[in-house]
Amino acid sequence: MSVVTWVRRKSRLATMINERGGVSIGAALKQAEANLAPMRDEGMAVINARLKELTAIRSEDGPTDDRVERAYHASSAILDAASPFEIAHVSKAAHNLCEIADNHQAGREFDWRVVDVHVGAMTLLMSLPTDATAARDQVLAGLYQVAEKKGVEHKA
Amino acid sequence: MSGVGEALRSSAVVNLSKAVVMVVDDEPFSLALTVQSLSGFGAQTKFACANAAEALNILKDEIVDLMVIDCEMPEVDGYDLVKQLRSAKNEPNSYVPVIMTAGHVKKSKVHKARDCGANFLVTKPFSPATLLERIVWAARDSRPFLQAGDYFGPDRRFRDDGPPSSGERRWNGSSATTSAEPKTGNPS
Repeated sequence: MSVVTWVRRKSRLATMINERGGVSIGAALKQAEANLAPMRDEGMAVINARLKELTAIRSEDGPTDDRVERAYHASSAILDAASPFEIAHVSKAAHNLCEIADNHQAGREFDWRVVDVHVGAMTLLMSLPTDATAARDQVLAGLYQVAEKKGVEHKA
Repeated sequence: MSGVGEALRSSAVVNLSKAVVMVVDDEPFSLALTVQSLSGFGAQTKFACANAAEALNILKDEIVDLMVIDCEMPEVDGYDLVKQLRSAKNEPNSYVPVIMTAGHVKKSKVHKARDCGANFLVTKPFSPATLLERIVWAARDSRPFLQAGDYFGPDRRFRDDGPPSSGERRWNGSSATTSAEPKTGNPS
């Protein structure tokens, strides 16, 4: 029989957050955005490096499962780097590739064409003008179709 | 001020200036994004760690008030780091509010994410607003800590009905039954 023990305690953070001084939520978010803005170029460089890595992994020899895992991590890094910079479509494309890689079953073949398609799509998404929302949506819809064909249940 | 599950009001004030913050992320750029966001909130990151081993080593000697941990890391991942932190029974660090961040949660790790003992999981796209909201929620998190079998962490139920007063109930979907003990520790 398992015993369930309950412990109620207040964290130091709970006390600190209410202390005098501090900053308003609005000002805090404004400052955080200002801190992140200069990191955009570095973020783009990380994304481009990871796109190259994906292309390299796709072309390599070696155990499939290991390469798929590395492709997953490269795609996850793109998702990390893209997410704060209002390039949501690139984040979603990277997430889609993570879903496909995560859906891979160990010991089975992997269709590396999906990596080509996603690298091409993410490169295109980054080059489209900011107001080309319809074109971005169309690219993303195509990627979701690829994922569905690979057995991923897409949660749009 | 907002409670857990509520959106933040722009005019509400938070003071994170004294908080000792640790961020753990193996991706340097992702770690820098988190640190810069926290800095905007007025919280300085005292410990920026590239892996779980480094974090656990620091936690032996230093008291921290907030941890932001990436889920996917090589060797010891973020879930196992939180599990080790909680089970170490190293007060007060074992009770520290923990926010986990994830770009994508693998299907095979959904249960680990649920069972590791973190307060909240932030999935990306990352935004400072979401991170700050979860920090405030974590500070406001009044859920008791629960020790049940292998699990030690905040009660995974958000509705606070308190512990069952008596009797037995099913645990974890298995046929084993559990008995609840009275609350221990200091009521907040």
